[in-house]
Amino acid sequence: MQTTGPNTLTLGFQLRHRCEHIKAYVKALQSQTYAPPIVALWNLRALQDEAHLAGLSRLCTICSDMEILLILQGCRMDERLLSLMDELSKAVAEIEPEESPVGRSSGFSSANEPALCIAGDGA
Amino acid sequence: MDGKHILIVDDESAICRVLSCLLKREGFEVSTAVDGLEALAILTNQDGSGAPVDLLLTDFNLPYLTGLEIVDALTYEGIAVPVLMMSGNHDESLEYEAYARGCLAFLKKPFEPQALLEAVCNALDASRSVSAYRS
Repeated sequence: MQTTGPNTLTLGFQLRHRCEHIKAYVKALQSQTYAPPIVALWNLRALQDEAHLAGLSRLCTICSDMEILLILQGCRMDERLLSLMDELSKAVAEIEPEESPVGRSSGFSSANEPALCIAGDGA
Repeated sequence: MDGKHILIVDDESAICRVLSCLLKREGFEVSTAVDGLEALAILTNQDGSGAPVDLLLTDFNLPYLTGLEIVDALTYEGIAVPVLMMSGNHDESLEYEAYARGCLAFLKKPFEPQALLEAVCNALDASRSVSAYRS
């Protein structure tokens, strides 16, 4: 568990949130239900950039591999995608454990977890 | 293959981004262009970058000039660069035209990242062999 201050928690929280969007898209691909790729690709790119800025090279590489697969193969289901999704989830989970950021200044707006950001904004 | 300069031409920025990332990881130097005119400016060094292009990886459907027209322009200018063509159009006549104009491979989108890397390495190997034979 990394407890180096509020910034670390905020980053982990953001990355986990982005990871959830990507996971939802991969699940949709797996179940062969239609889902537009744009949100997943956007989050994948943002996650990659944030990981790069934070010096999380392994996470950055996983995101990059996923993006390459999705773009070059035209967003098709692929076993490697599942494997990379698994790696991504694990890598993100390692950054921050399941800890509620309530009461901390996350500054992050989440549609899935509204209570967390309202409490975190301190407004 | 380290340090070889590859020019990627595709009007889809996402494709340029992932191809660039893939090739940079393998140690290549990469430039990108989003249309045929920008590609020609780089290939003829009109952009002033000074770095000669060792391999051209271009999409067929591009603004202003198609991939084949870029190849024709290079032939006209006397610039010898190995070319790999990519296309989402799987028309056999297009593939034939690409090979007839001297393209070393025709990659049909979507394709495997590994297929691209193999095509790039094969093209650079072939180009090196031809250069060695001529010299």
